[in-house]
Amino acid sequence: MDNTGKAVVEFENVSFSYDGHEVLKDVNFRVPERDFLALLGPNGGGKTTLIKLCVGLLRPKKGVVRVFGVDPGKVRHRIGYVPQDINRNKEFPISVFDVVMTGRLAKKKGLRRSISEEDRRKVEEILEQMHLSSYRNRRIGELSGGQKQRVFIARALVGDPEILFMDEPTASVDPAFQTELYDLLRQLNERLTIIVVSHDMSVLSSYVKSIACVNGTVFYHGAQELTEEVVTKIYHCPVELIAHGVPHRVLKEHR
Amino acid sequence: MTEWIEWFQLDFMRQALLASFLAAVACGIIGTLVVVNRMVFLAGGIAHAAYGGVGLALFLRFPILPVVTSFSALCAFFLGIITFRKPHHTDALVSAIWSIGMAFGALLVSLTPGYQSDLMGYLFGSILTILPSDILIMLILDGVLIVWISLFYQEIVTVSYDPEYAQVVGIPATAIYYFILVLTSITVILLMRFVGLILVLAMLSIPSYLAEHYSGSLKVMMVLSSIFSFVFMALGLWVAYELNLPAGPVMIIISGISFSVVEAINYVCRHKKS
Repeated sequence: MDNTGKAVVEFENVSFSYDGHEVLKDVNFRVPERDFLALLGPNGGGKTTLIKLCVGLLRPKKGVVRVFGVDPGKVRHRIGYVPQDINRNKEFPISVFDVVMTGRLAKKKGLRRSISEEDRRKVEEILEQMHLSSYRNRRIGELSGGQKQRVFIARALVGDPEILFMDEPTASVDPAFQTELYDLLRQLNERLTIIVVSHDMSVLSSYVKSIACVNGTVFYHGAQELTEEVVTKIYHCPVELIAHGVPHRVLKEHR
Repeated sequence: MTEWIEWFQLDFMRQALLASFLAAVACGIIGTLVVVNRMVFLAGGIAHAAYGGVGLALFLRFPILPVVTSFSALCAFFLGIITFRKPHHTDALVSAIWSIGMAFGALLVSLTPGYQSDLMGYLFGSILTILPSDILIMLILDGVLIVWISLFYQEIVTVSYDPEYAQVVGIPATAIYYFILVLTSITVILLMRFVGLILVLAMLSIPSYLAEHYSGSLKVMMVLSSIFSFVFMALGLWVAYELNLPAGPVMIIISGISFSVVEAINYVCRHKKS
């Protein structure tokens, strides 16, 4: 376990179940500040549940989840979130600009959230950065999968988060943008912590600092463990093999 | 042309036209929210369960509007809770409330002597007998809806588009959802007086469904569906008057024809492109 630096995310004996079906059991791990953590594991292993616990969408049945030392609900304005499902509500009449604007709302206090000039400027800025300026007035449903994915990443970044949770952000992004996205994430990683669920280790492995294997419980492999040798080995092997270890074990056995 | 003028000079027609306009505003706002939040079936459940409120008011000899409004607001709230708790059983639960409400109303009406003749009015509406007090109530409802929408537009858009993300940014998504449901129930009651219980769903869904296709934002969709609603209602009134037919069903048939024509045009356009 990596204990250098402050922990920005902490799980203490966390268990979670949906309708009696236990998804996570006795999860304990800490994520240090400015980590770039990849969550790996089989489908149904609890990766998405883990992310949802981190952003306060789900409450643990047992144990405590802390983000920046407190309940995630108290630090919403410091959290960025890219959900897995980006194809909801395709017919909804909303422009790219307005979708990204919703990412600014966590910054607002009080009952009513009104949009300021600064909010507009921030949205324009991030649209530019994500190469979306020419689509700003398009309806979200008209965009391709990759473009939509960029919109949701922009929405997560527009609130200037200090930690970014991404659930499979590259699922439908084209390869060219994938590399560009990870370069951007590396750049962002200089000031913010990034936790990403991904199946795509071939690209990701050269960017991440640590890995957590999620399958009912969580095994965190910190920076010391992820030596260059390990990373090179991970580079070409499928996620399932890394996560399970057998027969192509690259990480130390889970204790 | 002279017929139009003559028609417009009829006092009850002017009244009905004014009422149509006010109803169309509420219909555009709530219809939009109902359509984008996929709550049409829920609205249907509320509308029919409201008949329980009608029965209750008649039986107790209380004024109908307040009783029906509170009864259906209660149903809406209750529906909201159960659909939140058991989202996978929404259809079964809505159907249950739908039919129990109607059965309750039908029983109470049958136990009340002398009121049976009113049933048709509730089922098919009676826009031509609208009272000045109804106009005032609708004016208040429109005012409440417009103020509510302009104050919380950003929150309503966020919750409607992506309720999960709304929660992540700290918007009380559940509270806003309940608000939408309760205001929907009140609007349903209002529309019922025009087109009746049976047809109220069409008035909430058809104009908004048509508007959605041409709108870039929720705001535009609300304005556009209000305009569509008003056109359908006004045309319906005129045709019903000319042909001596009940206004409610005619309004819906006109909406239905417009709906079919627009869908056909869209279909042809799509197939030309590809």
